[in-house]
Amino acid sequence: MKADMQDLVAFAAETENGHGGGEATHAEVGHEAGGHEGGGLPQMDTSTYASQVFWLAITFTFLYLFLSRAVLPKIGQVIEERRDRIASDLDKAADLQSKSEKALEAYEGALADARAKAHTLANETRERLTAESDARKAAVEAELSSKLAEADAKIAETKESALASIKDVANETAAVVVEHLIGETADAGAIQAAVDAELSARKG
Amino acid sequence: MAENANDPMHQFVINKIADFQIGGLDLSFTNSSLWMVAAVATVSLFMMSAMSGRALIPGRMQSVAELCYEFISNMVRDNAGTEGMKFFPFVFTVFTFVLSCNMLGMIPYSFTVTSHIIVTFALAAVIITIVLVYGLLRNGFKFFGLFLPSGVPWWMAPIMVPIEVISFLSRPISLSVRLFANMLAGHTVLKVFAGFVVSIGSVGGLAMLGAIVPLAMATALIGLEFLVAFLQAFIFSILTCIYLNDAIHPSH
Repeated sequence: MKADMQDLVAFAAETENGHGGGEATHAEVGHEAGGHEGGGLPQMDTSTYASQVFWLAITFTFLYLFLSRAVLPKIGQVIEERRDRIASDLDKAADLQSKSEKALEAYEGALADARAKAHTLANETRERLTAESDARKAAVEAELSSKLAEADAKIAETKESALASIKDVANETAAVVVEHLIGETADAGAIQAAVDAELSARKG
Repeated sequence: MAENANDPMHQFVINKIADFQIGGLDLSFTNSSLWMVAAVATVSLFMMSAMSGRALIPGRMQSVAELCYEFISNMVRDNAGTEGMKFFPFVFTVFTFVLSCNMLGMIPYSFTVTSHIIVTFALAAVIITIVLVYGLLRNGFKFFGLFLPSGVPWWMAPIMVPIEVISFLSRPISLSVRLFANMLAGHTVLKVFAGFVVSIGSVGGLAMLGAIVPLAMATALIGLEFLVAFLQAFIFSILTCIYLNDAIHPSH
Protein backbone atom coordinates (compact mmCIF):
# COMPACT_ATOMS: atom_id res chain seq x y z
CA MET A 1 0.00 0.00 0.00
CA LYS A 2 2.72 2.37 1.06
CA ALA A 3 4.97 1.31 -1.78
CA ASP A 4 2.09 1.71 -4.21
CA MET A 5 1.50 5.29 -3.16
CA GLN A 6 5.19 6.11 -3.38
CA ASP A 7 5.37 4.71 -6.86
CA LEU A 8 2.29 6.63 -7.85
CA VAL A 9 3.63 9.93 -6.58
CA ALA A 10 7.02 9.26 -8.09
CA PHE A 11 5.42 8.40 -11.38
CA ALA A 12 3.29 11.53 -11.33
CA ALA A 13 6.32 13.67 -10.59
CA GLU A 14 8.40 12.06 -13.26
CA THR A 15 5.81 12.41 -15.94
CA GLU A 16 5.28 16.05 -15.06
CA ASN A 17 8.89 17.06 -14.82
CA GLY A 18 10.40 14.72 -17.26
CA HIS A 19 12.95 13.70 -14.68
CA GLY A 20 15.15 10.70 -15.08
CA GLY A 21 14.02 8.19 -12.48
CA GLY A 22 17.37 7.09 -11.13
CA GLU A 23 18.52 10.25 -9.42
CA ALA A 24 15.25 11.38 -7.91
CA THR A 25 15.34 10.54 -4.23
CA HIS A 26 12.11 10.35 -2.32
CA ALA A 27 12.53 13.75 -0.75
CA GLU A 28 13.21 15.32 -4.11
CA VAL A 29 10.11 13.66 -5.37
CA GLY A 30 8.19 15.24 -2.54
CA HIS A 31 9.74 18.58 -3.33
CA GLU A 32 8.96 18.43 -6.97
CA ALA A 33 5.50 17.11 -6.39
CA GLY A 34 4.73 20.00 -4.05
CA GLY A 35 6.47 22.53 -6.18
CA HIS A 36 3.87 22.38 -8.90
CA GLU A 37 0.20 22.97 -8.61
CA GLY A 38 -1.81 19.83 -8.77
CA GLY A 39 1.21 17.81 -7.73
CA GLY A 40 -0.62 16.48 -4.68
CA LEU A 41 -0.39 17.31 -1.02
CA PRO A 42 3.11 17.08 0.45
CA GLN A 43 1.35 15.53 3.44
CA MET A 44 0.44 12.52 1.33
CA ASP A 45 4.03 11.82 0.32
CA THR A 46 4.60 8.65 2.29
CA SER A 47 8.32 8.65 1.55
CA THR A 48 8.79 11.37 4.14
CA TYR A 49 6.84 9.54 6.83
CA ALA A 50 9.66 7.45 8.20
CA SER A 51 11.89 10.46 8.64
CA GLN A 52 9.15 12.53 10.27
CA VAL A 53 8.18 9.79 12.71
CA PHE A 54 11.84 9.09 13.48
CA TRP A 55 12.67 12.69 14.29
CA LEU A 56 9.38 13.20 16.09
CA ALA A 57 10.26 10.23 18.31
CA ILE A 58 13.71 11.61 19.02
CA THR A 59 12.66 15.20 19.70
CA PHE A 60 9.52 14.29 21.62
CA THR A 61 11.36 11.76 23.78
CA PHE A 62 14.10 14.28 24.46
CA LEU A 63 11.54 16.93 25.42
CA TYR A 64 9.66 14.45 27.62
CA LEU A 65 12.80 13.35 29.44
CA PHE A 66 14.08 16.88 29.82
CA LEU A 67 10.78 18.24 31.11
CA SER A 68 9.93 15.33 33.39
CA ARG A 69 13.46 15.03 34.86
CA ALA A 70 14.78 18.56 34.94
CA VAL A 71 12.07 21.17 34.60
CA LEU A 72 8.80 19.95 36.07
CA PRO A 73 10.19 18.78 39.45
CA LYS A 74 11.88 22.17 39.76
CA ILE A 75 8.69 24.10 39.05
CA GLY A 76 6.71 21.81 41.33
CA GLN A 77 9.26 22.28 44.08
CA VAL A 78 9.22 26.06 43.74
CA ILE A 79 5.43 26.16 43.85
CA GLU A 80 5.41 23.77 46.81
CA GLU A 81 8.01 25.85 48.63
CA ARG A 82 6.01 28.98 48.03
CA ARG A 83 2.84 27.30 49.28
CA ASP A 84 4.66 26.11 52.42
CA ARG A 85 6.20 29.51 52.93
CA ILE A 86 2.84 31.25 52.60
CA ALA A 87 1.22 28.74 54.96
CA SER A 88 3.98 29.15 57.53
CA ASP A 89 3.84 32.93 57.15
CA LEU A 90 0.11 32.84 57.70
CA ASP A 91 0.61 30.63 60.75
CA LYS A 92 3.22 33.02 62.04
CA ALA A 93 0.92 35.95 61.42
CA ALA A 94 -1.94 34.23 63.25
CA ASP A 95 0.44 33.39 66.10
CA LEU A 96 1.64 36.95 66.32
CA GLN A 97 -1.91 38.21 66.18
CA SER A 98 -2.99 35.99 69.08
CA LYS A 99 0.12 37.09 70.96
CA SER A 100 -0.65 40.72 70.37
CA GLU A 101 -4.24 40.13 71.41
CA LYS A 102 -3.01 38.52 74.61
CA ALA A 103 -0.65 41.40 75.17
CA LEU A 104 -3.51 43.82 74.64
CA GLU A 105 -5.59 41.87 77.14
CA ALA A 106 -2.75 41.90 79.66
CA TYR A 107 -2.26 45.59 79.06
CA GLU A 108 -5.92 46.28 79.59
CA GLY A 109 -5.91 44.14 82.74
CA ALA A 110 -2.87 45.98 84.04
CA LEU A 111 -4.50 49.26 83.19
CA ALA A 112 -7.68 48.31 85.07
CA ASP A 113 -5.59 47.10 88.02
CA ALA A 114 -3.60 50.30 88.07
CA ARG A 115 -6.77 52.32 87.84
CA ALA A 116 -8.33 50.42 90.75
CA LYS A 117 -5.15 50.76 92.76
CA ALA A 118 -4.99 54.45 92.07
CA HIS A 119 -8.60 54.74 93.06
CA THR A 120 -8.12 52.96 96.41
CA LEU A 121 -4.91 54.89 97.00
CA ALA A 122 -6.73 58.15 96.39
CA ASN A 123 -9.53 57.06 98.67
CA GLU A 124 -7.13 56.03 101.40
CA THR A 125 -5.21 59.25 101.12
CA ARG A 126 -8.37 61.27 101.19
CA GLU A 127 -9.58 59.40 104.27
CA ARG A 128 -6.22 59.71 105.96
CA LEU A 129 -6.05 63.38 105.21
CA THR A 130 -9.60 63.92 106.39
CA ALA A 131 -8.88 62.01 109.58
CA GLU A 132 -5.70 63.97 110.15
CA SER A 133 -7.29 67.29 109.54
CA ASP A 134 -10.23 66.30 111.74
CA ALA A 135 -7.86 65.33 114.50
CA ARG A 136 -5.91 68.54 114.13
CA LYS A 137 -9.09 70.52 114.12
CA ALA A 138 -10.26 68.76 117.24
CA ALA A 139 -6.92 69.38 118.92
CA VAL A 140 -6.96 73.00 117.97
CA GLU A 141 -10.51 73.34 119.17
CA ALA A 142 -9.64 71.64 122.44
CA GLU A 143 -6.67 73.92 122.86
CA LEU A 144 -8.75 76.92 122.04
CA SER A 145 -11.48 75.95 124.46
CA SER A 146 -8.92 75.28 127.21
CA LYS A 147 -7.35 78.64 126.54
CA LEU A 148 -10.79 80.18 126.61
CA ALA A 149 -11.52 78.51 129.92
CA GLU A 150 -8.20 79.73 131.23
CA ALA A 151 -8.93 83.22 130.08
CA ASP A 152 -12.37 83.03 131.65
CA ALA A 153 -10.81 81.87 134.89
CA LYS A 154 -8.27 84.66 134.74
CA ILE A 155 -11.00 87.20 134.07
CA ALA A 156 -13.00 85.88 136.98
CA GLU A 157 -9.95 85.98 139.23
CA THR A 158 -9.09 89.46 138.13
CA LYS A 159 -12.65 90.49 138.70
CA GLU A 160 -12.57 88.93 142.15
CA SER A 161 -9.31 90.58 143.03
CA ALA A 162 -10.60 93.82 141.58
CA LEU A 163 -13.72 93.48 143.67
CA ALA A 164 -11.59 92.68 146.74
CA SER A 165 -9.44 95.70 146.15
CA ILE A 166 -12.63 97.74 145.62
CA LYS A 167 -13.66 96.64 149.13
CA ASP A 168 -10.33 97.76 150.56
CA VAL A 169 -10.51 101.01 148.63
CA ALA A 170 -14.10 101.46 149.79
CA ASN A 171 -13.10 100.73 153.42
CA GLU A 172 -10.22 103.18 153.29
CA THR A 173 -12.30 105.77 151.45
CA ALA A 174 -15.14 105.30 153.93
CA ALA A 175 -12.66 105.61 156.88
CA VAL A 176 -11.19 108.76 155.34
CA VAL A 177 -14.62 110.17 154.52
CA VAL A 178 -15.92 109.37 157.99
CA GLU A 179 -12.79 110.90 159.58
CA HIS A 180 -13.27 114.03 157.57
CA LEU A 181 -16.98 114.21 158.26
CA ILE A 182 -16.94 113.57 162.00
CA GLY A 183 -13.44 114.37 162.82
CA GLU A 184 -12.62 111.21 164.54
CA THR A 185 -11.41 107.84 163.57
CA ALA A 186 -14.21 105.45 163.12
CA ASP A 187 -14.12 101.89 164.17
CA ALA A 188 -12.58 99.84 161.33
CA GLY A 189 -14.83 96.88 161.97
CA ALA A 190 -17.96 98.94 161.75
CA ILE A 191 -16.89 100.55 158.51
CA GLN A 192 -16.05 97.22 157.02
CA ALA A 193 -19.43 95.81 157.93
CA ALA A 194 -21.21 98.85 156.53
CA VAL A 195 -19.26 98.67 153.24
CA ASP A 196 -19.90 94.93 152.93
CA ALA A 197 -23.58 95.48 153.49
CA GLU A 198 -23.68 98.27 150.96
CA LEU A 199 -21.71 96.26 148.36
CA SER A 200 -23.79 93.16 148.73
CA ALA A 201 -26.94 95.31 148.48
CA ARG A 202 -25.69 96.81 145.18
CA LYS A 203 -24.59 93.54 143.84
CA GLY A 204 -27.96 92.02 144.49
CA MET B 1 11.30 29.31 -6.84
CA ALA B 2 9.34 32.32 -8.10
CA GLU B 3 6.68 30.04 -9.53
CA ASN B 4 6.31 28.53 -6.05
CA ALA B 5 5.69 31.84 -4.35
CA ASN B 6 1.97 31.72 -4.93
CA ASP B 7 1.52 28.00 -4.44
CA PRO B 8 -0.22 27.68 -1.07
CA MET B 9 0.99 24.09 -0.72
CA HIS B 10 4.63 24.93 -1.18
CA GLN B 11 5.02 25.78 2.50
CA PHE B 12 4.30 22.17 3.44
CA VAL B 13 6.97 20.64 1.22
CA ILE B 14 9.59 18.65 3.05
CA ASN B 15 13.17 19.34 2.00
CA LYS B 16 16.09 17.18 2.88
CA ILE B 17 18.87 18.89 4.80
CA ALA B 18 21.15 15.99 5.62
CA ASP B 19 20.82 12.57 4.06
CA PHE B 20 20.57 9.77 6.56
CA GLN B 21 19.43 6.22 5.89
CA ILE B 22 19.19 3.13 8.06
CA GLY B 23 18.39 -0.26 6.58
CA GLY B 24 16.76 1.21 3.51
CA LEU B 25 14.61 3.59 5.57
CA ASP B 26 14.98 7.23 4.69
CA LEU B 27 15.50 8.94 8.05
CA SER B 28 17.01 12.10 6.63
CA PHE B 29 17.21 15.26 8.64
CA THR B 30 14.68 17.51 6.91
CA ASN B 31 13.22 20.97 7.42
CA SER B 32 10.47 19.22 9.38
CA SER B 33 13.08 17.68 11.69
CA LEU B 34 14.77 21.06 11.96
CA TRP B 35 11.59 22.71 13.19
CA MET B 36 10.88 19.85 15.58
CA VAL B 37 14.33 20.43 17.04
CA ALA B 38 13.62 24.16 17.08
CA ALA B 39 10.33 23.60 18.92
CA VAL B 40 11.97 21.34 21.50
CA ALA B 41 14.87 23.77 21.87
CA THR B 42 12.47 26.69 22.32
CA VAL B 43 10.54 24.93 25.07
CA SER B 44 13.68 23.58 26.75
CA LEU B 45 15.60 26.85 26.66
CA PHE B 46 12.58 28.84 27.80
CA MET B 47 11.90 26.49 30.71
CA MET B 48 15.55 26.33 31.65
CA SER B 49 16.09 30.07 31.71
CA ALA B 50 12.70 30.66 33.34
CA MET B 51 13.49 28.31 36.20
CA SER B 52 17.18 29.15 36.57
CA GLY B 53 16.37 31.66 39.31
CA ARG B 54 13.95 29.42 41.23
CA ALA B 55 12.81 32.60 42.91
CA LEU B 56 10.26 32.49 45.67
CA ILE B 57 8.72 35.58 44.12
CA PRO B 58 8.69 34.71 40.42
CA GLY B 59 9.86 37.02 37.68
CA ARG B 60 8.07 37.44 34.38
CA MET B 61 9.49 34.31 32.73
CA GLN B 62 9.13 32.15 35.80
CA SER B 63 5.51 33.29 36.14
CA VAL B 64 4.79 32.08 32.62
CA ALA B 65 6.48 28.74 33.31
CA GLU B 66 4.52 28.33 36.54
CA LEU B 67 1.33 29.42 34.82
CA CYS B 68 1.86 26.66 32.22
CA TYR B 69 2.59 24.17 34.98
CA GLU B 70 -0.54 25.01 36.96
CA PHE B 71 -2.66 25.26 33.82
CA ILE B 72 -1.74 21.74 32.71
CA SER B 73 -1.74 20.24 36.19
CA ASN B 74 -5.25 21.61 36.80
CA MET B 75 -6.33 20.29 33.42
CA VAL B 76 -5.00 16.81 34.20
CA ARG B 77 -6.45 16.80 37.72
CA ASP B 78 -9.87 18.04 36.59
CA ASN B 79 -10.18 15.61 33.69
CA ALA B 80 -8.29 12.51 34.81
CA GLY B 81 -8.38 12.80 38.59
CA THR B 82 -5.49 12.74 41.04
CA GLU B 83 -4.36 9.39 39.72
CA GLY B 84 -3.98 10.94 36.30
CA MET B 85 -1.20 13.12 37.71
CA LYS B 86 1.30 10.37 36.86
CA PHE B 87 0.70 11.32 33.23
CA PHE B 88 1.20 15.01 33.97
CA PRO B 89 4.73 15.16 32.51
CA PHE B 90 3.48 13.44 29.38
CA VAL B 91 0.51 15.78 28.91
CA PHE B 92 2.75 18.74 29.66
CA THR B 93 5.17 17.56 26.97
CA VAL B 94 2.35 17.04 24.48
CA PHE B 95 0.96 20.50 25.17
CA THR B 96 4.26 22.37 25.02
CA PHE B 97 5.44 20.44 21.98
CA VAL B 98 2.27 21.02 19.98
CA LEU B 99 1.99 24.64 21.12
CA SER B 100 5.61 25.32 20.27
CA CYS B 101 5.30 23.67 16.84
CA ASN B 102 2.10 25.59 16.09
CA MET B 103 3.56 28.90 17.22
CA LEU B 104 6.87 28.47 15.40
CA GLY B 105 4.78 27.67 12.32
CA MET B 106 3.45 31.22 12.49
CA ILE B 107 6.90 32.60 11.71
CA PRO B 108 7.01 33.56 8.02
CA TYR B 109 9.00 31.11 5.87
CA SER B 110 9.04 28.60 8.70
CA PHE B 111 7.65 25.08 8.56
CA THR B 112 4.64 23.90 10.55
CA VAL B 113 5.48 20.45 11.88
CA THR B 114 1.91 19.82 13.01
CA SER B 115 0.52 20.47 9.54
CA HIS B 116 1.61 16.97 8.54
CA ILE B 117 -0.89 14.21 9.24
CA ILE B 118 1.82 11.69 10.00
CA VAL B 119 3.17 13.79 12.87
CA THR B 120 -0.21 14.38 14.48
CA PHE B 121 -1.22 10.80 13.85
CA ALA B 122 1.98 9.51 15.46
CA LEU B 123 1.27 11.65 18.52
CA ALA B 124 -2.33 10.44 18.66
CA ALA B 125 -1.17 6.84 18.23
CA VAL B 126 1.22 7.20 21.16
CA ILE B 127 -1.62 8.60 23.29
CA ILE B 128 -4.06 5.83 22.34
CA THR B 129 -1.36 3.20 22.89
CA ILE B 130 -0.74 4.56 26.37
CA VAL B 131 -4.49 4.55 27.05
CA LEU B 132 -4.82 0.95 25.86
CA VAL B 133 -1.72 -0.44 27.57
CA TYR B 134 -2.22 1.39 30.86
CA GLY B 135 -5.97 0.72 30.85
CA LEU B 136 -5.46 -3.01 30.34
CA LEU B 137 -2.60 -3.26 32.86
CA ARG B 138 -4.49 -1.35 35.51
CA ASN B 139 -8.01 -2.67 35.04
CA GLY B 140 -7.50 -5.98 33.26
CA PHE B 141 -10.69 -7.26 31.68
CA LYS B 142 -12.73 -4.51 33.31
CA PHE B 143 -11.17 -2.08 30.85
CA PHE B 144 -13.65 -3.37 28.25
CA GLY B 145 -16.42 -2.00 30.42
CA LEU B 146 -15.51 1.16 28.58
CA PHE B 147 -17.44 -0.20 25.62
CA LEU B 148 -20.65 -0.81 27.54
CA PRO B 149 -21.73 2.19 29.58
CA SER B 150 -23.18 1.18 32.92
CA GLY B 151 -26.93 1.49 33.24
CA VAL B 152 -27.57 0.44 29.65
CA PRO B 153 -30.03 -2.48 29.41
CA TRP B 154 -28.38 -5.74 28.30
CA TRP B 155 -30.37 -6.01 25.10
CA MET B 156 -28.90 -2.68 23.99
CA ALA B 157 -25.43 -4.19 24.10
CA PRO B 158 -25.37 -5.40 20.47
CA ILE B 159 -25.99 -1.81 19.37
CA MET B 160 -23.99 0.03 22.02
CA VAL B 161 -20.82 -2.04 21.96
CA PRO B 162 -20.06 -1.60 18.23
CA ILE B 163 -20.82 2.13 18.51
CA GLU B 164 -18.50 2.50 21.47
CA VAL B 165 -15.78 0.42 19.80
CA ILE B 166 -15.98 2.49 16.64
CA SER B 167 -15.93 5.71 18.63
CA PHE B 168 -12.89 4.46 20.54
CA LEU B 169 -11.09 3.46 17.37
CA SER B 170 -11.88 6.74 15.68
CA ARG B 171 -10.30 8.70 18.50
CA PRO B 172 -6.73 8.66 17.19
CA ILE B 173 -8.04 9.62 13.76
CA SER B 174 -10.21 12.48 14.97
CA LEU B 175 -7.48 13.65 17.34
CA SER B 176 -4.82 13.74 14.64
CA VAL B 177 -7.01 15.00 11.79
CA ARG B 178 -8.36 17.86 13.91
CA LEU B 179 -4.91 19.29 14.60
CA PHE B 180 -3.50 18.55 11.15
CA ALA B 181 -6.53 19.92 9.27
CA ASN B 182 -6.65 23.09 11.36
CA MET B 183 -3.00 23.81 10.71
CA LEU B 184 -3.19 22.88 7.04
CA ALA B 185 -6.34 24.88 6.37
CA GLY B 186 -5.25 27.91 8.36
CA HIS B 187 -1.85 28.19 6.74
CA THR B 188 -3.24 27.50 3.28
CA VAL B 189 -5.92 30.19 3.57
CA LEU B 190 -3.35 32.60 4.95
CA LYS B 191 -1.08 31.88 2.01
CA VAL B 192 -3.92 32.22 -0.48
CA PHE B 193 -4.87 35.66 0.82
CA ALA B 194 -1.24 36.73 0.96
CA GLY B 195 -0.93 35.51 -2.64
CA PHE B 196 -3.89 37.72 -3.63
CA VAL B 197 -2.12 40.72 -2.17
CA VAL B 198 0.96 40.00 -4.28
CA SER B 199 -0.91 39.27 -7.50
CA ILE B 200 -3.27 42.24 -7.21
CA GLY B 201 -0.40 44.47 -6.13
CA SER B 202 1.73 43.43 -9.08
CA VAL B 203 -0.90 44.81 -11.49
CA GLY B 204 0.14 48.29 -10.39
CA GLY B 205 -1.67 51.61 -10.60
CA LEU B 206 -5.08 52.07 -8.99
CA ALA B 207 -5.59 48.34 -8.84
CA MET B 208 -3.10 48.29 -6.02
CA LEU B 209 -5.78 49.77 -3.79
CA GLY B 210 -7.70 46.56 -4.28
CA ALA B 211 -4.90 44.71 -2.55
CA ILE B 212 -5.96 46.35 0.70
CA VAL B 213 -8.91 43.98 1.06
CA PRO B 214 -6.93 40.69 1.00
CA LEU B 215 -4.20 42.38 3.07
CA ALA B 216 -6.71 43.24 5.79
CA MET B 217 -8.07 39.73 5.52
CA ALA B 218 -4.62 38.18 5.85
CA THR B 219 -3.87 40.39 8.87
CA ALA B 220 -7.09 39.33 10.58
CA LEU B 221 -6.35 35.71 9.70
CA ILE B 222 -2.92 35.92 11.33
CA GLY B 223 -4.62 36.88 14.59
CA LEU B 224 -7.07 34.04 14.16
CA GLU B 225 -4.26 31.62 13.36
CA PHE B 226 -2.45 32.50 16.60
CA LEU B 227 -5.67 31.75 18.44
CA VAL B 228 -6.07 28.47 16.55
CA ALA B 229 -2.43 27.58 17.26
CA PHE B 230 -3.05 27.89 20.98
CA LEU B 231 -6.55 26.46 20.90
CA GLN B 232 -5.54 23.33 18.99
CA ALA B 233 -2.67 22.66 21.40
CA PHE B 234 -5.14 23.09 24.25
CA ILE B 235 -7.76 20.82 22.66
CA PHE B 236 -5.14 18.21 21.82
CA SER B 237 -3.92 18.05 25.40
CA ILE B 238 -7.35 18.22 27.03
CA LEU B 239 -8.55 15.34 24.84
CA THR B 240 -5.40 13.47 25.89
CA CYS B 241 -6.50 13.97 29.50
CA ILE B 242 -10.03 12.79 28.76
CA TYR B 243 -8.77 9.66 27.00
CA LEU B 244 -6.35 8.96 29.85
CA ASN B 245 -9.29 9.28 32.22
CA ASP B 246 -10.93 6.41 30.34
CA ALA B 247 -7.85 4.29 30.96
CA ILE B 248 -7.92 5.14 34.68
CA HIS B 249 -11.69 5.00 35.23
CA PRO B 250 -13.09 2.77 32.48
CA SER B 251 -16.61 2.57 33.90
CA HIS B 252 -18.26 5.69 32.60
